[in-house]
Amino acid sequence: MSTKNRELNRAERAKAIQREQAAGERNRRILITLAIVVVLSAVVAAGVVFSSGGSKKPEASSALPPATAQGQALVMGDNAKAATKVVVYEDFLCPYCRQFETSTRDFLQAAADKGTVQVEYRPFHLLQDDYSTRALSAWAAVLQQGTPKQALSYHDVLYDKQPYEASPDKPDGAKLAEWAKDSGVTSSSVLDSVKKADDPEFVKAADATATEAGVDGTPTVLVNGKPLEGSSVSDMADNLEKIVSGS
Amino acid sequence: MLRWVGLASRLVVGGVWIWAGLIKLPDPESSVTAVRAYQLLPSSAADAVGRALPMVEVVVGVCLVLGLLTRISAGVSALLLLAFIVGISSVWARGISINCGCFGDGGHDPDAISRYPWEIARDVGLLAASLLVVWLRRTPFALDNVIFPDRTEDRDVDQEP
Repeated sequence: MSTKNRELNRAERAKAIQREQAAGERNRRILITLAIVVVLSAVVAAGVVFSSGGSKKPEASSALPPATAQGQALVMGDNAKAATKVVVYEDFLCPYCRQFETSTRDFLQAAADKGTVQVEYRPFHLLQDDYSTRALSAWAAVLQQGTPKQALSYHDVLYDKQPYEASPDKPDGAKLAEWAKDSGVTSSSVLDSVKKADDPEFVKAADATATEAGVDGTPTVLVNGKPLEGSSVSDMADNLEKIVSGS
Repeated sequence: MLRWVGLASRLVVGGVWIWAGLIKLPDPESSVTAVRAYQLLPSSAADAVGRALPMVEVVVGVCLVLGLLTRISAGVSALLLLAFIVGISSVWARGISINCGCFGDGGHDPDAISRYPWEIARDVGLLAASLLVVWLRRTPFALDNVIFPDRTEDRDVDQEP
């Protein structure tokens, strides 16, 4: 009887030790798992920051290449004898244009800075949507009353922040003015015009130029007067990059 | 036998993730364009997802191939694939024709709709493989087996009378 009791006690004690060990082992595993998860999250975060070259803010206008306003167009690069002249007809609401802009911006700005390329941005109103004319009018205010560099920066911001074509509530004048501020526009009279975002004269003139040039889709890109070829927007961007790096 | 199917699933799914992520990694703008093209997320969220996704894919892929935190990685893999299947089905239903952007170069593409069924089938296959790995818990040649040695021996001791 007593031996049986003793054996029972021993068995219980052994079980208790096992339970304790199991609990310790479980804690150890949870800690290791957490540590690995933290390290992996850090790797992801570092990769994201690294691949997007730090947090992307609208370029300070001092970092942008020289630009001039010419009528309804904005010309980037001050070398009139540049080997490659690019003309871009685009709509601020067109998603293809956004794709073209974000995939060509860096190398075009670098080349314009070097003076090997001159780019003429000709935004106009193609898509039948109020936002298309609203954004164009807002940009017109910066182009005509602000500085060309502000207009260039605002042009980039308008594409970065482009709403979806099908979105029911697209940015209003106040939002457009906020983005203009982000692009370095400080004058309150310019910001007021941006906020009104209503310049039918400019829209009409820009549209007329595009129609005259036979442009019926966006983006339409001319390189030294010839249409840029490409089966898709990314193909167009690749072809343009090849041409630009060769000049 | 099933353990070896599990190992194969781990390597195939992991390999696909690494491949898909590495293609997209050098061009975050193109990845953002791909996510935006689905017109599902608010544009600011699409921006963040587009930038984070390639790196997440590479890390999930590496974890699966190495067998590191296998169950969690396979779970994340299954969730991502489910999201992709929902995304592609949704653009298909809405008649939006885009390159799925699965392996880079997303955005508008006029002949994409005919490819949707095959893309969904591929993702369903990868999803099934991921779920198999989640269900198996343990597969051969995994780092987990070294870091978290199997406790079946302890359990055997417990079960002995």
